[in-house]
Amino acid sequence: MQKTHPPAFCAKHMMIVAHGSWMPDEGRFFLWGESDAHAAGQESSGEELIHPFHLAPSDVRRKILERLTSEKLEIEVPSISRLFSLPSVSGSPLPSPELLYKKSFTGQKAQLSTWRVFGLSLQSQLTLRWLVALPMEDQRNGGSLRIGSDLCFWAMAARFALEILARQRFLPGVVDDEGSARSRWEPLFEEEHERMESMQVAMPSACRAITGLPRSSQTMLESFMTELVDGFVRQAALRLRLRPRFQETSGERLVASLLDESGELEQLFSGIESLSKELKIWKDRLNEERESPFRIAFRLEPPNRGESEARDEDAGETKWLLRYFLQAVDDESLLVPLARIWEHSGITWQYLSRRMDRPQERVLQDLANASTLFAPIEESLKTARPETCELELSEAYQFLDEAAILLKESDFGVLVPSWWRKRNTSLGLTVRFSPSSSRSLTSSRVGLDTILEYDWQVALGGQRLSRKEFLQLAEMKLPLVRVRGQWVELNPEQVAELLPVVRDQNLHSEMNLRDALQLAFGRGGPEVPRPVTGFNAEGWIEELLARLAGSEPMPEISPPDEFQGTLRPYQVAGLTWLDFLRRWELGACLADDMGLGKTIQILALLLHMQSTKELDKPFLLICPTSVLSNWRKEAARFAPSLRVLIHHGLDRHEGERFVEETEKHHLVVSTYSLVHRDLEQFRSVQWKGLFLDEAQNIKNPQAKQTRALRRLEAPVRVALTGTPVENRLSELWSIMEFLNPGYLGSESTFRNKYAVPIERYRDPAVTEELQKLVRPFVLRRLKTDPAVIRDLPEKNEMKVYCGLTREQATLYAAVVQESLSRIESAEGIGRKGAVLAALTRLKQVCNHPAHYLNDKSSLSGRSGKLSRLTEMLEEVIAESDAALVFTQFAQMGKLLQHHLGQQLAVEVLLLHGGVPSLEREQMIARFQEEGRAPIFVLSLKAGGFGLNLTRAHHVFHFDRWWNPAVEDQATDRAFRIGQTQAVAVHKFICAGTIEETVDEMIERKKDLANTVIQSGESWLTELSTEELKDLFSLRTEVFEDE
Amino acid sequence: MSENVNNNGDEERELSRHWWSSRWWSSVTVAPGLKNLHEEGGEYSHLERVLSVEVNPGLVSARVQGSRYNPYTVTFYIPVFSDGQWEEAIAALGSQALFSAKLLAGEMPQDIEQVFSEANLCLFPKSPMELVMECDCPDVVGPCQHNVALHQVLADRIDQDPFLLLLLRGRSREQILKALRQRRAAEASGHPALQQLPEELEVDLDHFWDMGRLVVVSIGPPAVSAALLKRLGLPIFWKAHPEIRGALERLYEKVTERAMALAYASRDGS
Repeated sequence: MQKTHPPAFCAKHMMIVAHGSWMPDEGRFFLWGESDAHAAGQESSGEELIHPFHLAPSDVRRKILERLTSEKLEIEVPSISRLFSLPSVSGSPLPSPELLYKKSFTGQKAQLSTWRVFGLSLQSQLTLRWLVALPMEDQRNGGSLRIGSDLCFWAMAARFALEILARQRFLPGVVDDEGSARSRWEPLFEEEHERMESMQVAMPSACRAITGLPRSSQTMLESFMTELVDGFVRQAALRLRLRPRFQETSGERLVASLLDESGELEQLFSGIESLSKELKIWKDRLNEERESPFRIAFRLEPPNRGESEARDEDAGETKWLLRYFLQAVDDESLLVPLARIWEHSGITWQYLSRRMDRPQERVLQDLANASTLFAPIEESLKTARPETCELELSEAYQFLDEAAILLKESDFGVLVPSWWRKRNTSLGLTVRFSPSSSRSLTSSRVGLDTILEYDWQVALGGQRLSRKEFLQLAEMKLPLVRVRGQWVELNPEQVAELLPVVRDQNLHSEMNLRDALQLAFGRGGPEVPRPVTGFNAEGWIEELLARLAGSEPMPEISPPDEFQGTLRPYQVAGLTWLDFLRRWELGACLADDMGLGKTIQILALLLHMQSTKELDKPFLLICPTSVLSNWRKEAARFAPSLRVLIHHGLDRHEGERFVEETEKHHLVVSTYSLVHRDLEQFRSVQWKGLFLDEAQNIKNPQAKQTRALRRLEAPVRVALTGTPVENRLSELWSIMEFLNPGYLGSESTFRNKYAVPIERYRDPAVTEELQKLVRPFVLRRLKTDPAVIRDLPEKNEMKVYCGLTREQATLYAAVVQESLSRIESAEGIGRKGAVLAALTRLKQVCNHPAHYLNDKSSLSGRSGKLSRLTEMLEEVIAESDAALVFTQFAQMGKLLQHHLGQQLAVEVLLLHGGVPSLEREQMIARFQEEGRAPIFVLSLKAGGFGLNLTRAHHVFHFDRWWNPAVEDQATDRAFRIGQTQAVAVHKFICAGTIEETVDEMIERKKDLANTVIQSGESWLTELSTEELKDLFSLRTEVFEDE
Repeated sequence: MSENVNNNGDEERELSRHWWSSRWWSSVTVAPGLKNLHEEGGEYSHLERVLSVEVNPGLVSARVQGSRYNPYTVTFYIPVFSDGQWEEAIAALGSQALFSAKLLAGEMPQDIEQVFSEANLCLFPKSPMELVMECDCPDVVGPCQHNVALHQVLADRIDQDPFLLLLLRGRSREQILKALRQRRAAEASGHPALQQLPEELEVDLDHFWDMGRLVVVSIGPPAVSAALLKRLGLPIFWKAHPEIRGALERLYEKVTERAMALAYASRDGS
């Protein structure tokens, strides 16, 4: 679609968006895909138009269906085609938002047109299995395959159907479709009408784009879920080999047809109508609406005896009581004993403002209904005026365990004792740690592998039991027991599980600190047969846990004197936290939002260690090449007393020399690309610690560099990342495994226990559990945190130093040479022009070789600034924030728009001088709308007037105007009335180039004479040729791409 | 209950009737001949003689035991409202929450006639011409005793269940409540009622791919297995086969087991 890019480029980076549609008539799922390359070989036939950029069915199978499933496809998946109504503009369907970068924003009105699309037809059960396993989170890490919102919706609907199945919310039904009747397992939509309605509202229109008979979202959703549920139940029935013995009566035929594969129903004795009517009558009992303001409520009361008399041992011999009440439907605390009804003789009974007609009959009828759910009630109905019934202990347990739930579901009121199945009232273990030695918080080395001693005990209902007590209780074999006067549940299965452990194992044992931390911050952890419900620690262990959990403050350390600058209060807190974890040799992940100064917190940590004489061995810092220059510049600026060695490039040290040089420095900075290559070198040095910057680079646990990094030994480990690591689970595991090996368990354990429930179902309980587990080791401050806002200036300006690639450096040197000779030979106006032209060309080289060459070549990996910008914008998007990117050059703006859109899979808007004002208004409105295009590229001149772009909290200056006033004016687009947050301003500078030199000159002159530089760049033309030579010359030896 | 229903009994029933069934009774008995026949009383006004009554949109059919061995089939027709008319009626009903509340509570709101007439509809028959009655008895002239019997039973049924009135006009209570619910939901969320989408896909093309907030799904076993069967028991046609219950309970358990396995299976098979 884009004419500016050669086909080779498209083929290399083909991006696919997977789509799906439900076909209600067939009961099958249509899977198809869009791609940014033209699908080959689809000929137009007659009047019909073929969708121009969809995937061929063979590619749908290979690149979508098979790529996202591990199962062997034994079921036939035929290729078919369907017609779709899609929003289209000028003879082509619009790409879905995941591919939107393909279209530049035109503001042209779209229309619905019909397109033929080829794809695969999936049988319903394959659809269910495939959709359930489809990842929904973390799309941006998916690379070249993205999931369209329509497919995402069906994936959620499939999960909903699976919930209905697991919870058994389905019943038999029959459908009579023009004479051919069939049975069908039907989900109970009535019970779920609220969620069904939300789903219908949430359904993207795209889900109904398949033509034929356009269906309402309700029909589509219900048909989809019913088909999935029906097929699944039949599969289960086939597995059980259930068959009725005879097939004579209609009832028997119906059962047979509900249990077979097809569900066909033929030759019914009494006709399908009567069967379906009976089924309806049967099911309608579920939805009976009560007209009465009262319902019957049951209250279970434990044996009523004075506490002094109660002996735990004779718990089994006393009677429990189930007492009946009338309960007001609108006020559950309003309970009226049934005696009041029996005393009442009138037709209508009135209580407060509520009326009930024929109360006695109603009560009797309801009690009779209840007795079908809990048989002991029936006995009480034999009395004249039932008010209670007596229960054996086993009946009481049955009531609590099952009947109470059935009664509640049938709209009866149920009041159970408060201790029943409350948290921590079941059988569990309590663990007590007491430090064996007199180790203190400041003394000798402690790490994850330090062995701790502990004692454990059985706990029941929050009470600790001695071994003897537990064995006695287990002996009684009662489901409900009284422990020290209090009733508790003693689940027989749990007892059986625990009994051998208690009988045979030593109550005193050992575990390492890793396991203890898992116990303290998570559930389970090491091999214990029951959940640990109580946790006690003493001495230093208690202190360590309390500080990690944040329930006790860490002793604050003061910023090191050597630090050149001022640490903001939250940065001091970060430094304190890093230092605390370091001293315990616990790995720390500093995950502050971009722009909050992670780099300087690390530099401060090193300076602090230097001041306490703990920096006896060097640190190794691994970062992406794109931030190498930035680290060097920041260290020189904020921590000049640190000796920093850059280990990168062809002339880096090797062997002995490397070890020697390393020992002379405090910090060695190297890059991810070298970790694997130079691993043996790195392993030959004894490191004090290891820092990983942009730690999302090790998100793939199996990647070579990740595995290599895990083999490096260093007692102190810190990972830095600006992405919300807690939401990207494989990344989280990989980073934690690097920081605190073993703490989150093995990769597959972690997947089963956390990743699957959270990624597939966004399970809130599991999410919380995981957060609790990792919270002590992850420090993440957002720029919206009140404490951070208080510390930050409204406009937080930062310089971002980037390196050049070797290609850029070569071009740069050539331009300098050519320009200087041209300037030397020119005079007057001509010289002035030559200087300005040189400036422009050097800036272009710094931006990107393709910008300078204007050759439409591929963009990736050729510019330090572009790599860094892409990485930083990725973080902006991960924070759900938006950004403005300014460049002086309209040409660069176009390159950025295309490249960023494709790399980040978001819509990127571009505003330059040539955009008509109406379109400009539309663009601004689009940008300000939440959830739309998060990146707005502006060419600086166009950024002038009337632009209110307050949705952005990040402003990037990709190249420099060298005029602070103009830059400030641009920045202020984001910083306007309506802006509520601090705005981070990132000014990009290519280190070692004219960009850096001019920046330094401006910084020097800023205070003295604003006038000099206010006139734009022309002041540079006044410089002598010698000065210019100095200004232009390249002062860097480090290149991005080595 | 098995006594003859005499005029006195009728009057008593009239008195204890809800307003809607009285209103119904007086509007159908304007049909020529029907009222007279009723007032005469007769052997066929035994309620027991009506073997079955089936109420459908626009039509009521009953089997009435007459003098012959085979019962007569009596049918009574009334015009149903069109979909468009219903849409207007639902809109009018939806304007006040009170109507929904009353309908939910099983009551016919007093002003329901008013509501329907706002939509230019008449819930109760306006003129005898609207009503058609048939009976396969040999009595050829005018409404017969069998028709009277049907109407007496029908009026009683309507008294118990006012929604039959609406069903006669073409919509069941569930349909009406559902339509009202959807209207409320749509109004509350500010979205158009998606169910009302006409045949052609009418969508906001700017938001064609947009997805709303998805529901929270929580997959786990039920608190009590086969709870629906335990609550409902078996339907009447399975009462003779108690073994079916055990089989279905096992099936429900199996479904949970397999659903849980599918839900939490990792892709890598571990």
